[in-house]
Amino acid sequence: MRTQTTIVLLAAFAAWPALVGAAPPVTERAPVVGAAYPVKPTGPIAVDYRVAAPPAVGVPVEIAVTARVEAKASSLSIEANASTPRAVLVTPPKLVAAADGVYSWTITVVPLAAEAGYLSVIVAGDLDGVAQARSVTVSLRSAGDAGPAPAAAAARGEALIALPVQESP
Amino acid sequence: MMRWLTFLSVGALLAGCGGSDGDPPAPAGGELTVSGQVTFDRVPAVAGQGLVYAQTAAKPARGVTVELLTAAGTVSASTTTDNLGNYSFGGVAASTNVSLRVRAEMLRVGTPSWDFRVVDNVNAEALYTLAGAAFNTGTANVTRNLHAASGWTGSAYTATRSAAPFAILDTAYDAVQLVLTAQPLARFPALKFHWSTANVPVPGTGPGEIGSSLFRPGVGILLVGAANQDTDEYDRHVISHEFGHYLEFGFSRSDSIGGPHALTDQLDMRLAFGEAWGTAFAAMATGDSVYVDTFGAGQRDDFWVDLEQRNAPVNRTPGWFSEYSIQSLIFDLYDNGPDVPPGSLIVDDLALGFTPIWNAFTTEQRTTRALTSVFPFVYALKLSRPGQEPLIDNLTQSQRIDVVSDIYGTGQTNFGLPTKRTALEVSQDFHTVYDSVAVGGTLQNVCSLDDYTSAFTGAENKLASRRFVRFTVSNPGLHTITVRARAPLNAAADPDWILHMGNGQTIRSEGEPACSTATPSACVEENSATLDLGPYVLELYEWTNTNEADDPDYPPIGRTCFDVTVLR
Repeated sequence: MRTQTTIVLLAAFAAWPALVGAAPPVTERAPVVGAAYPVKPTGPIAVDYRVAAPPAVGVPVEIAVTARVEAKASSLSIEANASTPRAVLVTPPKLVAAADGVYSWTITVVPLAAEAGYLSVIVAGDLDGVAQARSVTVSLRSAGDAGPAPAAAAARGEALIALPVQESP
Repeated sequence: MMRWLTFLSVGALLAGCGGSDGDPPAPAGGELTVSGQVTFDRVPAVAGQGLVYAQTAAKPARGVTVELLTAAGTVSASTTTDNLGNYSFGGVAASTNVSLRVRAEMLRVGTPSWDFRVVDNVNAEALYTLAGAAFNTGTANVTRNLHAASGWTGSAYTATRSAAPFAILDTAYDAVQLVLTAQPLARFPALKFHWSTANVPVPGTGPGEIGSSLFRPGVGILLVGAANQDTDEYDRHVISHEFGHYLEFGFSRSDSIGGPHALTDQLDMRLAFGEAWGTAFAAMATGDSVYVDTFGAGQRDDFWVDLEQRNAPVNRTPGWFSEYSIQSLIFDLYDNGPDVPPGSLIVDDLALGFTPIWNAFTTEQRTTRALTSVFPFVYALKLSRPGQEPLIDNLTQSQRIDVVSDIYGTGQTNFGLPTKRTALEVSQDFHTVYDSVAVGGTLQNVCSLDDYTSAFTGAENKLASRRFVRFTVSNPGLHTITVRARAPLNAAADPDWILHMGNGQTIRSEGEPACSTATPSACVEENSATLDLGPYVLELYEWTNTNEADDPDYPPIGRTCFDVTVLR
């Protein structure tokens, strides 16, 4: 087994650890590679995307979105929304191919800030007569911007978040 | 700090309830009772509609911790809400400044026991709480109700989403209640739900980039919470599905190899069962056969599937490798109410309830020497319910799973619908769930395939990429296992194997042989291990056949066959 190269696909995650007990003898070798945590169930529309280049402020970047369906589909629609609309320009999705259950669109975005948030893409359609949808979310963060740093763990005592509550009377 | 937990009866609560106006005076000694109800907004997830905020309803926060704080902010007493969300503190000093705090926590010590918390994974794992305002207890018993609102104000979340952690716990509460019906003394391993409004469905290393809601052993359940992208705090089936994976880890066993999967994929049987279990458990715990996962702008979109397979996506490839088939099978074994699985003439008139399903899940499925799949599960169920074997057989057959006669799926005849070569071609290589080899012998021509690649989710974890060979050790000691490629080869082969010892223990052998298509016998994976008496399962595969179909460096090389030898 060789080191595996990972490409950006929707549900590619880290390894699902084997539920092993005590370490077995001699022959146990490499850690699990290539397996993944199972993610939540997904429906009859598969969607993946590829970002042409790392997002950079002021530079248009094309996102190719591909949807696949096995079932009989009347048509598929697509919608794209930015999580921080003021930080990114988004063109309407442009259909580039639709045949044999495979639909492809391109979306061009222009980040206006390093923290441009995310682009949420929804693909929906009637499959076997049933309305279904699938979403993917694309990170628009510029290279080197990992977003806000997580708060440090409390040095002592239990960390609590106080949420507002409605009290009566 | 004194901390005490009280489990209240409804009767006691009724006796303790009362408003400050007209309440009976505090008993002598200057002590009184502070009581009330804790509620949260439940936003229903409706198939085809997403989250329906117009139908938001206040629901009791059941089994959560409520604390009474002094004016200095220290905890003077702690209790737990009952199944109506009610709490009560007796013996509270009159005319004293206090406040209430509700922790996003379900905690019970003793037997049964559990310890569930909802924390913010992008904020120091801080525990969510509802923080009440300070008040003076006065001289009469006090009623204070606390409500956590959704934060939705008509067209968007413009206020703090206080209800979310409590909606998550409420789903866990229902799941616990279901398990307790079968195992009243269950001791649940501690579990954290990691939820944040910053949790996005993007895989990455940034804060909140969790990729998807999922269960990670040793970490807990991670849930997305990004408004207008994907939120799961009100998606009861999604939470319960992940809780089902937690139960696999805590009470049963999963040999699942994980990875991407879609409802209609033809999967490695271990992954198929694990995902089906999660979804079936969700339907049983929520009492709703329609699984709904909401997302999108305004949380208006959704994916849904009815485990009764009514008005649902068509399952074109039912079988023992289909999570869609197995989730419906488990639910049909459980539910009460006759129905007919689509494409079948067989009526589901079996209603076993949860207990036998839980028993099979936590006994044979946990300890099986086979791999975890639908076979040991159904076999255990049949052994426990001999009088209902024909009805169980009916249901498995309704999903095109032949009569289950052992934990290994012996006698199965449905091997799915290949997506590359023809079914006839594939049947020459793949017509048993497990093959067998005798110690001292060689099993020829065990083939690793990539014929079940999914248009949705690729090749890596699909049917027949990994093949399974059984053998039984009757003379304990050092054994050498050899997996050697056979001609013809499409490319240089890289066989790997994993020996399953039972109870989830494995030995892995994953070397990199130096060989070519001209030297197939040099494409070999060999190792030795000391083995005890008993049955073993050898999982073997051509390594590239477990890669993505479009892997730029090592894409699947397709049909690759091996000879397997086990020597003492």
